[in-house]
Amino acid sequence: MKTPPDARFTLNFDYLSTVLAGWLIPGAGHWILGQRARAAILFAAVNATFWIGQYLGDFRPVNRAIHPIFFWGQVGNGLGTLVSNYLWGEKRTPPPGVDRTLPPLLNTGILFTSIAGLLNLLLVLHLADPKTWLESMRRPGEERRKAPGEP
Amino acid sequence: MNSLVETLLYFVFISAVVAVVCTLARGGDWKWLAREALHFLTLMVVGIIAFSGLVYVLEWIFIRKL
Repeated sequence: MKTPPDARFTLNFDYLSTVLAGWLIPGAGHWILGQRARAAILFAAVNATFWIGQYLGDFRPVNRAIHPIFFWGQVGNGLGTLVSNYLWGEKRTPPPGVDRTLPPLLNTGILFTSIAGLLNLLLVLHLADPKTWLESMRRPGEERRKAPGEP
Repeated sequence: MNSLVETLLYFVFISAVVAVVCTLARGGDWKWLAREALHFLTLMVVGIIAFSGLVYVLEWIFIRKL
């Protein structure tokens, strides 16, 4: 399908909700845009990286109280990070002092979860780009969604 | 499993994920995307191995005798 020449970019609810969905669940925004195969691969890749990182670090890599700087990278994963921080993060913060129960692969876990978060932020930026919306309208045979501003 | 092998596997895995996701964040047909992801992965792996080799050689030259 050809791109309508008068398709202009404006902020609207569809656009904001799609970007928000893409942040909360990696790949969800691309799925909503109709790029189903791409969305499935992105969902699997980003979530696998995040949850493998969590597993390697014994579900301790995401902790806003202990790793506040890494948390801002991890929060790119949206819901996964927020739920992890709520369930296994701040509730399990050890008392001050030397913690001798740290998992040996905690660093690797923090690295994996942070990279997954930053990758999803990249995908959110891709979703926020009006060119992505116009591209999704051009794909033949895939479900089409109106671009922001399209009548 | 040997910890070095394990670390290398994690490194290759994370490099592959970064290559795939970064490539998919760009447009293009599937064939082009696959080629570009493989190219990106190769660049990352070769680049990091070369850098590690350089660090190893520098250690061998300057730290070995300490």
